[in-house]
Amino acid sequence: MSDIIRLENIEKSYGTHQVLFGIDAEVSEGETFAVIGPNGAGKTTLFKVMTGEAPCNGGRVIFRGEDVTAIPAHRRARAGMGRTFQVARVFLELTVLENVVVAVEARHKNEGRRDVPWYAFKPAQSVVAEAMELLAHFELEAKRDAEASELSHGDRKRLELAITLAGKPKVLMLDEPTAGMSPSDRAGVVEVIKRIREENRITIIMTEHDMSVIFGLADRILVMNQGARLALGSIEEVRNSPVVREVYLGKESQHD
Amino acid sequence: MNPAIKATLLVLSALVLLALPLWVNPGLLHLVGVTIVMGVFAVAWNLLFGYAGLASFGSGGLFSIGAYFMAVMLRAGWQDGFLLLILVSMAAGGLVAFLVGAIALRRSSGIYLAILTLALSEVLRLFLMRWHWIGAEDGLPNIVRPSFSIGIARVDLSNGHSYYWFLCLACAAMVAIMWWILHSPLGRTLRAIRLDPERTAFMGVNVYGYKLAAFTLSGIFAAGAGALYAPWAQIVTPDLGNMTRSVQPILYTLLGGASSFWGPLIGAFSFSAIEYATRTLVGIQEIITGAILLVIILVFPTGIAGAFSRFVGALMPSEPSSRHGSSVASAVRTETP
Ligand SMILES: Nc1ncnc2c1ncn2[C@@H]1O[C@H](COP(=O)(O)OP(=O)(O)OP(=O)(O)O)[C@@H](O)[C@H]1O
Ligand SMILES: [Mg+2]
Repeated sequence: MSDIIRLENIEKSYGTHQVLFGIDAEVSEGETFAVIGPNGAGKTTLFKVMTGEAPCNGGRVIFRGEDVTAIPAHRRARAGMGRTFQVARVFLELTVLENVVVAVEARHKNEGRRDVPWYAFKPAQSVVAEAMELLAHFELEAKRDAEASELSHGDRKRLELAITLAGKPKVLMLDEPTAGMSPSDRAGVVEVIKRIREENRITIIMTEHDMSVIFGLADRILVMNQGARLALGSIEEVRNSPVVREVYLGKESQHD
Repeated sequence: MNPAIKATLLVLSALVLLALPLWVNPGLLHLVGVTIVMGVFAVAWNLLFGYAGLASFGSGGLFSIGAYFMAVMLRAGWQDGFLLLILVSMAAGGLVAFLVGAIALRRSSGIYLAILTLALSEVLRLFLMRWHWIGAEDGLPNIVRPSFSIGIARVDLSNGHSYYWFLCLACAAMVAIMWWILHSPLGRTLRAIRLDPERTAFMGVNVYGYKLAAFTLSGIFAAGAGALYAPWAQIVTPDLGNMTRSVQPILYTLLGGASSFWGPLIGAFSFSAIEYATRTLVGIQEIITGAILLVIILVFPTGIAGAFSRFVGALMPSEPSSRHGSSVASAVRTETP
């Protein structure tokens, strides 16, 4: 099956407040899939339902041909979901290197690798080497011994990407990768994402408010409004959709 | 701190502790022995708090499980297997902690976990107070300091200061094992879980399993401290597991610093030193002790305040949004020249 993720009729409520109304979507293996919509449309909530952070009240999440609707987040992660957060979440009191080492060790453990005994009180050489390679990739190797709390916002976003890629995900879910960045930093992030995509042949699902980022990266776009699916298609299809123009693109200026 | 300085300090304090019986009076030596045990107990508590981010208010219950197991087995005349008895007592504490954790950690954290563990340890204490076979309210007195053999060597801990030295060695071994565990990948993962459990789960880590492991390990070593305490005090009573006992490791940890492995031990010794220094001030001792603690806390705002805010954080898990809000704020601050 070429669909890596399929969402079937996803419903989600917080108490009596319904946030998602029967969302259907499918993401093909290897594509870059963008979810857009105004603030509060339910993009982050949809991410939460996909990754298992929040249970849905109705519908099914199919991941790599398996129904994962009732499966907890850590097991979805083991199966190949990796995600970043709208506001980067890294381990602030650990060093930059430790942040990535923890992630590499978690994957090694899940792969059942024996070269890193749980009782070794120094990270295995292979783990450190792998972590350093990831840091180098994101130009963070010079800051390896800094506490993550000392990093700038942009550096934290990149560290979070390094942590996430340390898990070798099959699907990379990016919740607003350029949120809170300057236009020049945004261009940098687009380049990084392109590079990740080429090197890992990875499926990417992302949300983003910046249309230039979306148009530079996405193969297909899901447009959401007030918890409902408004449109789903290629950039051209979405751009030319009258419904989308009316409800969403007309308000685009509000978001920047 | 420089590792060499740390190691030197460690060796020096160990030597001082080992030489203590040669020049201090028995009363003070008894206090030092209790402090060592309480220090280990506090490190065990901080294994849970400082590393896994879980605050238990029932560790006194685990301490008294270790002490009672040891007391009962020694009074049954099994002193020949003393080393094994320590392991059995530790296993008992670990088993209880595992069972409690398996249920409690599924649902509760923060303040709920604190109240639940407090309630369970009170239930245990009331139970011990009513069980006549183990002395009910009077507890079990006349616990012998054992004499046993390892291979062909005979170890007699009943004479002179030998049990004190054994206590030092056993506590050092427990601390060493805990140090090792917390510096392994397990410890690193636990620290990640304390900082952001959700984020850690998204790395494929079974957070519940790790928390349960920390809960169990903490129980094992809390009971280990209790097991060593029984022959030292030579009496165990239900009050060993009262609320004061559960609060002591918390106090030591906050005093010494939760973010440091050695913090709880330092806290235990500082606290005992303050109490000892003020022992003659009958009636106002608590006030003086409290005032000194307050001053120390104010003089070391980073260590103590950092520990305190995390303590509060563990009691009341903050909304992710507010936590991230503040991390953005600090990111913005660091970006501004
Ligand atoms: N934990 C929660 N409890 C209650 N309501 C929530 C919760 N999280 C989100 N909501 C509500 O769900 C709706 C969708 O929120 P969501 O965060 O998914 O939107 P979004 O599309 O990601 O918006 P943004 O572009 O601002 O990130 C909003 O109305 C929000 O108020
Ligand atoms: Mg969002």
